[in-house]
Amino acid sequence: MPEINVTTRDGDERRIAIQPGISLMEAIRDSGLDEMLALCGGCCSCATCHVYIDPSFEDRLPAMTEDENDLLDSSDHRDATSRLSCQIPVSDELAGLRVRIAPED
Amino acid sequence: MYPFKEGSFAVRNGWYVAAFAHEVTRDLLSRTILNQPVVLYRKEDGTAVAVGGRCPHRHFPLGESCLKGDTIVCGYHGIAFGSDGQCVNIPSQEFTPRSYRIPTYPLVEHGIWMFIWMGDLERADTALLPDLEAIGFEIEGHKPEPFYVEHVNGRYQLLNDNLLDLSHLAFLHGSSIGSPDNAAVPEELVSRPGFFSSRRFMKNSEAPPVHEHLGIKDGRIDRISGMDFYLPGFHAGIEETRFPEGDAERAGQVISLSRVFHAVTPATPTSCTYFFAANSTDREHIDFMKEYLKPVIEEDKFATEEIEKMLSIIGENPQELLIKSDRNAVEARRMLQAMMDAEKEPAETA
Repeated sequence: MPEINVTTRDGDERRIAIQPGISLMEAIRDSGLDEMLALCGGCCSCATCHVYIDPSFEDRLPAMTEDENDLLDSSDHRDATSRLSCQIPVSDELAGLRVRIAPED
Repeated sequence: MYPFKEGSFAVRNGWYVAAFAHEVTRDLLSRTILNQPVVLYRKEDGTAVAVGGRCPHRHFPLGESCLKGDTIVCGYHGIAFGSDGQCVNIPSQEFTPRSYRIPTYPLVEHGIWMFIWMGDLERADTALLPDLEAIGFEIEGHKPEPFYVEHVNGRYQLLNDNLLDLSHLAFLHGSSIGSPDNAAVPEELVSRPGFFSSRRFMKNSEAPPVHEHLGIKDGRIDRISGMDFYLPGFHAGIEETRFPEGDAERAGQVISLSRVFHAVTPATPTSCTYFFAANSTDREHIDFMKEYLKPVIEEDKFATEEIEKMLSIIGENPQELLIKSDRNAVEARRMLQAMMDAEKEPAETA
């Protein structure tokens, strides 16, 4: 199974296996990392699964929707690499991805 | 079932309020709890008991029967059950089979409430009851007053969700106990297994309309508002108001301290019983609150019942667009779901 690297808010790095077909938010949550609230469960209404994505993978990610863009605007911690992890399906293509969990708003 | 997984209704192994203590008398009291009919009464020695509310013969409600001594005599064919659940008499025959019995449930008089345990008997532990000191049961030596018992035609979690997001005070109760800061000021949260707490500390905040009664009209106050949820069904609310820092003479002085106690007990999958009690430093205030809060609780009941009607139209588990203020409700739902999941797992073998 492909693996990705997740950096927690404390700066700990974890390698987690990903099951293609679920979202990045679900992959992180299912690995036992519970610091990301991911309240709405993937409806794109709460912005509590905010992560920073390694820019070198940008072209392998789906384009951001207006809904996601608006929600990210509500965060004080948005930067150019911000995404909502519930909006990113994981696939073999993302093997080796580096992702960092954004601070809580 | 919404908002839980398919097949998950309610936590069984937990203390739920079955009644206010004063409701349990020498008259039989019927309640539906966790989808089971229950009858509550006091024995001749004053001890309160809870037994199954259905005669196993032809399902007649034992709550509609009569109490002779400590024995319930079924109103249909006269079959009688002792407070230990055992049948003691079948009038139409001489022999009373041992198999003829009704369930009994642990019932504890605690504070002003009767708590019942509907789950596994060996797990009924009174140490799991909400601690009276921790919930702020007494204020200046006064006990809370039981206010209302509401039969709500909506599932219990809708009321828990309501109590776990006090930002609704600003809107649903904006004409009484709420002010805009109930939604605008962020909350501080504490959680541990079986417990979830939230507080809003509102400084120099618009006084909610209820403060007119306390002589503060269009004024500013410092206010602490919050709720402690003792899973699975008891919420202790805190409301403290003081004169704000800007008040030259009275800064920091208490205007009122009050506690509210909400117990939500699942009845059927789409109904629940809601017990509301309150306490305050101001005893006149208590009498006033009993009248004043009636329509406020009716607003919560209205919202719950209307949402239940909506669910009956749109079906179970609709997608819901949760927002940040749903954090408490979502965390508490997850805690309840985990408790329900744990109950479904086969018992561990040593």
